[in-house]
Amino acid sequence: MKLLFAEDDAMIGESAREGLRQSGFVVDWVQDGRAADLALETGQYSLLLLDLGLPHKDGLSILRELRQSQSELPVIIITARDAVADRVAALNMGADDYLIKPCDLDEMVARIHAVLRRHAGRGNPELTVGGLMLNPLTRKVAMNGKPVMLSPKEFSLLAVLMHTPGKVISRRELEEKIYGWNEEVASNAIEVHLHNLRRKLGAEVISNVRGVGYKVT
Amino acid sequence: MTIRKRLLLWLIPAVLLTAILASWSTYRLVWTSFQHIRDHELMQIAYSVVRHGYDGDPPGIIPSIRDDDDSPGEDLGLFMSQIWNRDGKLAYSSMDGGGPPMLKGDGLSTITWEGKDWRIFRLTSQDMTVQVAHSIASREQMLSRLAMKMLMPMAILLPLLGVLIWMVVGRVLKPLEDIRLQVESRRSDDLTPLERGPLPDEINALVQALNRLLERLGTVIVARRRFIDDAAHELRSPLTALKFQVQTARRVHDPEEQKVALARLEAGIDRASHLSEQLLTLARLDADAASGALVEIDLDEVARQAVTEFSDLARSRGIDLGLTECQPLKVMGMADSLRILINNLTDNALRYTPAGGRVDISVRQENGHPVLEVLDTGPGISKEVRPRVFDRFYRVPGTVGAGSGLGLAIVKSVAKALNATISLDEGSEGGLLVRVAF
Repeated sequence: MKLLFAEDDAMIGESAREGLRQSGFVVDWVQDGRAADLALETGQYSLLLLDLGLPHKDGLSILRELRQSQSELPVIIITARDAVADRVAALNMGADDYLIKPCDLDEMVARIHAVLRRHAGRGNPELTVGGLMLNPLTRKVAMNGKPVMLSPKEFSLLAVLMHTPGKVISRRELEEKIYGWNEEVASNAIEVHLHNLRRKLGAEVISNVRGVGYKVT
Repeated sequence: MTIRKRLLLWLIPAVLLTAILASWSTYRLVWTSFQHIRDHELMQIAYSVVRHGYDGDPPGIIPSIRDDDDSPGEDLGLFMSQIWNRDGKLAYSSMDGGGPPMLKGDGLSTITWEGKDWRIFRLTSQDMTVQVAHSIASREQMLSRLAMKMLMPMAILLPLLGVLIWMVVGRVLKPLEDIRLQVESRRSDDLTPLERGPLPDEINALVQALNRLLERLGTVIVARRRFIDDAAHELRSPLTALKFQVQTARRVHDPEEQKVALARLEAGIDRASHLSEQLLTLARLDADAASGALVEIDLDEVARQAVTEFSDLARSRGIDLGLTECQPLKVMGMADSLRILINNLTDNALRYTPAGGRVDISVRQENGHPVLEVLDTGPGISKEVRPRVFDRFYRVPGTVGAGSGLGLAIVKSVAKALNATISLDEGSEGGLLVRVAF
């Protein structure tokens, strides 16, 4: 699950990226408004974590333009501005949640999952497709009730596929969604991970639509 | 003591003194007129007798018309009359024993006879000489009785005046009392101007002065409140970083990663303490600006100390820090303020100058004024944002490093207290040149 984190404070950015990585997210971190715009144009993100006081272009402008361009990208505001008026303005402008600094990393992770769930129209935190169950919070996967051990990347890949069961996702898109900027991606990396997943879960779980992509059924 | 009591304390004696002076001068005037009238009476009596003539028979007892003391019927030894005939023989005297001898000439005079003072008038006609007299004592007695009656209204008027003054003073001071109630019933954060009704000029001036003070207080309080808001807001960033750092550090188990996490945590703590220290400095500067004693400080010595103090830090960052010029110069200032100014400028220069760069400090005299310059080879500050960098918590967009955003605000605050001017310029090698002229 790849997130874009727009935060100008280097210390917060670094530690949050580290913390989110530990929770299984892939994080691209930008330090100003223009960089955030650029990243949003080019990258595939599941969610945007947005600080309001960004240099060059402030968070609210980014959010407004995002919503004006009909983007459905979930946005969580993370800011030190705690006035009710600020919170109301941000939520009314299309933010999905509002976190006030200093916030708790665990809470941030929980809220990210909650927003993603709501966005997918689900209430249950666990994703289930047939006999396959994946819990993004505990990072546990079970097949017909039996736990399955997956590597972090395998887990991320399965999570992306299970978020939209039945939908075919291209290899390129999968790559985009599970690798950050600073990660080297081998050309056949996705295929290797998919191969391992099929081996652990059974070949019929993930099907390949030749020339288009992959889906979970 | 209330103004009312104070006014009364001054007004009552003043009124009393005026009353006494007025009474005394009135008494003097009345005394003179009275003498005049009495003299006139004597003359009238003498003329009446002379016109009327004298038949030689002594008069019988004339009964009193009224029996009060002012009765003109009885002379009671206070009035006397004498008549001498043409031959100079005493024909009549109201006094037993004949009374005083005939005066030497006609007219008014004052004599002493048998131990008493008399005002006496002698008139001579063809047939007789008439001599009439009042005792002076009787005149005084009569006048003093008159004076008592004159003073009676004064005695009644004075207390009445006192009550009137009391009421008038109360009425005049009413607006003052209203203002007092207005001020007293105010909430401590209510700084709206006091109401100004139709007030006396003096009180109006006071209310205006109070309103101006309230206005000034208002701006100070707003500035302070905004500073506290900003400070609280700014403290959140390092605290957020610290919280994230602690939480990530707790999750890692690999000793190498743990070391990195702990180093990050330490940097976060350094940053938070730097910020709180800068905040404290700023708060102290604000307090000192109001009540600091100015002393003579050696500018060159403080610059030398700053370079020495920061030399280790500069070396560890690979920056060449040095003093290029150092004339012995003195400036007037609060003891610590100059050190704070130079340290902040030096710290700032070191913070934004990349490794391999240089920071030069110089102290010299220019046009008779001591000048301090700090030159670095960092990225400099673009012209557009130069005026804003002295604002509290302002940080140049895209700045790397974790400054508090207060360094230059502190410098500005100190410079203001020292009456110095700061200017920012581009350095010879593209960095920033800060110039402080005292």
